[in-house]
Amino acid sequence: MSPFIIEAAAVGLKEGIKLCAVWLVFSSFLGKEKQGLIRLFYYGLLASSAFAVFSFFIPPDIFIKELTSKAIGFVFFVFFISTVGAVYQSTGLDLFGPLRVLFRHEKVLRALIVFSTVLYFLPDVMGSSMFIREISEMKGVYLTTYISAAGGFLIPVVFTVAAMKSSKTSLIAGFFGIPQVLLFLSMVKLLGGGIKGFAEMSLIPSVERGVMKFVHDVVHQVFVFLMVPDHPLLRTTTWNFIGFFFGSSFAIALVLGILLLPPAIFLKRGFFMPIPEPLGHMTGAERRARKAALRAERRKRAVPSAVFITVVLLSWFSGRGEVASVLYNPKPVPVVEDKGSIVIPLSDPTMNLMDGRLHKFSFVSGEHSIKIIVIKKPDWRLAVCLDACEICPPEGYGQTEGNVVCIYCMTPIPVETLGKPGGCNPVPLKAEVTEKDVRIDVVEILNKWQDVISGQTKEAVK
Amino acid sequence: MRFLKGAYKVLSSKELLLWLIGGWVIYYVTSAFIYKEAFAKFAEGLGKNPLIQALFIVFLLCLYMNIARLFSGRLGDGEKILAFFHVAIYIGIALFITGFFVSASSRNIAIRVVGEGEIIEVRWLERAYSIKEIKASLREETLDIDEEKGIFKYEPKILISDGIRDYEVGAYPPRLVNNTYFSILNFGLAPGVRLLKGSEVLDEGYMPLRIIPPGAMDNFKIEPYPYKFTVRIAPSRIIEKGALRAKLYNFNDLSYEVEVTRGEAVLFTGNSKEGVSFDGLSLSFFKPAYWVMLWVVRDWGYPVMIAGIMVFVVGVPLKFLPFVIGRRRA
Repeated sequence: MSPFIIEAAAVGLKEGIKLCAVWLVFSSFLGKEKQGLIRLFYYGLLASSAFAVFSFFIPPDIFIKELTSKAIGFVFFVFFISTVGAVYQSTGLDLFGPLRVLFRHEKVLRALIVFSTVLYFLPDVMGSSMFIREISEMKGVYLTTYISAAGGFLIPVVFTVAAMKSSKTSLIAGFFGIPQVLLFLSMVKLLGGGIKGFAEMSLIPSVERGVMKFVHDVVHQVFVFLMVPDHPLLRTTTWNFIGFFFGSSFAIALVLGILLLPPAIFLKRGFFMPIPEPLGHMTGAERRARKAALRAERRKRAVPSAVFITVVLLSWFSGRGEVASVLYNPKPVPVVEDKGSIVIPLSDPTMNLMDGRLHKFSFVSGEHSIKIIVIKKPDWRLAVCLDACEICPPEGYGQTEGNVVCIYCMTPIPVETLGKPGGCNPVPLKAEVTEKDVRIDVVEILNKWQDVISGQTKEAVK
Repeated sequence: MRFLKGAYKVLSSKELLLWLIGGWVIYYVTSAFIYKEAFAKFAEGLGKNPLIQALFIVFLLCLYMNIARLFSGRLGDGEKILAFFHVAIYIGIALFITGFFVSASSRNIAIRVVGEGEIIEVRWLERAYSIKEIKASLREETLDIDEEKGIFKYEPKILISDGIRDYEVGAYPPRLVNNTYFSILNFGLAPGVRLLKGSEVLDEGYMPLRIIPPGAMDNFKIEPYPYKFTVRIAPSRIIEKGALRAKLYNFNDLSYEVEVTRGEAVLFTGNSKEGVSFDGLSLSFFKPAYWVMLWVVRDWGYPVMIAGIMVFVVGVPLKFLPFVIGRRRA
């Protein structure tokens, strides 16, 4: 079976699982008394589906895809910060004050459910629809791809309908209060919010990239304010120490710390916080029974947190996290000039430029050994650049998940931004990409290389 | 009085602090989705946007009052010293953030590329400073494989003078001179260059170039002539031992690898010691000078940030001390 068909089925299955998991948990949370509110959830789903159908007619513009990807990330952030707020609210803090009354209004609650459902599902459905359309266009097989995606989507739906009819879903109701529901929604979004098929199924890489960028910017700004001098005056060991803060290991630790803090607070509350004494006049036995019930409820509510922590840690370190922490730096393949150009085949028995991995080539001109990098970007275009930037000594780049990383200063550069000059980005090269190969003019390479190894001119000081 | 008590109650509340921190996180993440450089935009806003500055001041007030509330809460448990140990780490963080805010909102900065004998004049400086001396502190000889040792015996320094006193300025930490910080941001070589036609000197001077560390290449032009001169420091010796090949650079006796071009045409390639001749002209090099890129900063927030870092570093072990003392007493 074609890999595109399998990928379409996997994307459909992922979206189906996300929908069904949220449907199941929300329905159980509402319970029998408030089951009527589930209709609002269905209205929200309907609105999202309508937009999804509309998205089939939107051209798969890079800008629209980037916007959709950002929207998904933003929705994850909204639900995650709501979880943090709910956690603090549950510890006894009164974050909302008089605004709490507002959330008890029926109309406000109804509007919130519809809005939250559309906010939650719409970007994912749009993004996945655009992806399915893209791969069907690439393969030229439309019907099979869509049927495959629909089939993957329907499998979990059928199972969920059967489960809900069996009424056994009420068993999970006891595990979910408002903070737990929000945490669950955040977890589902984090683990299944990717819209790049197999290349990026979850939001974990983009969350990690965002945190790395934040840490890089804060450290850089602090160093500017502390007047720490520029690279050339720092020894390699000192710069390596600073580079630690720009590295993926530090970012991974920080991201995990941030993500796992709310569930860790839940766990602490569930297992270690003392149970308050029940108020009112009751016997010793009644008091003990009340406290035992409260303890059991707290521990039950802590279970989703424990699951979240386990799932996030497993996802992070099973291949994805490990790949992110290892810098892939391939050995350059020598290439030679052919009638004024460098010609690199798109694929041969030893390599495939479209595989998403970083490819390096070396070209010797006089006493200069110039390295060139080629990598496929998420929009399926090839980025062709010098293995050097305008700022740092030309030590080149390695690859981590979703980024190329400057080996000298450890700055991560998102792959989708390659091709744009400036800053720590590798110097782009004008290249002609045909159906079979990539052609780069030698004069272009030499001119750009000359710019890299020379600085700016200065006026004479007399 | 009631108003003040009410204001204190609100400002010292944990809820307000969480809302302010949460609000900033929402602002930053939203900004990061719209702009590529969200943090730089925020730092710029701290310097220019009155709304951001006002909110930040409220946040700082709230932070300090929460620390005061925490301290007074711990006082109720017993000793003042232990209460201080508990909050020292937060005081360090608060001081650091305060220093950051003061830096962002009130910093004056100037960058100057100067050589020996030049004068530094900046608009907020009450007096001008002259560069009396540049101490390059380069090793006499450097191997190009000495990466870990670096090229400096010690950091480069300059001697500046206000006519009354001399001040030595290095790369780090910055030197405070009359409420202004001076530090060396970058350093380089300015070869002495003379353009001749026969024996007639057409032009001469020092050309600040980025050719340190050795191996780096830079280029310059001499107006109004149409030539581009590309220069790098030439090794005095090449040492080969088996497969290892290293270049030795002697800063006491410098020569340069020079390429002269006019447009696309290469007119000369070679070593400066052999003489650089092209189109009836010649280029000679005389003893180089050094240039430094000097950071001149007036920043009231810098000492506060440093104090914050120091208090934070001291506060980290202090935070655990009451726990250890408590266990020992038990």
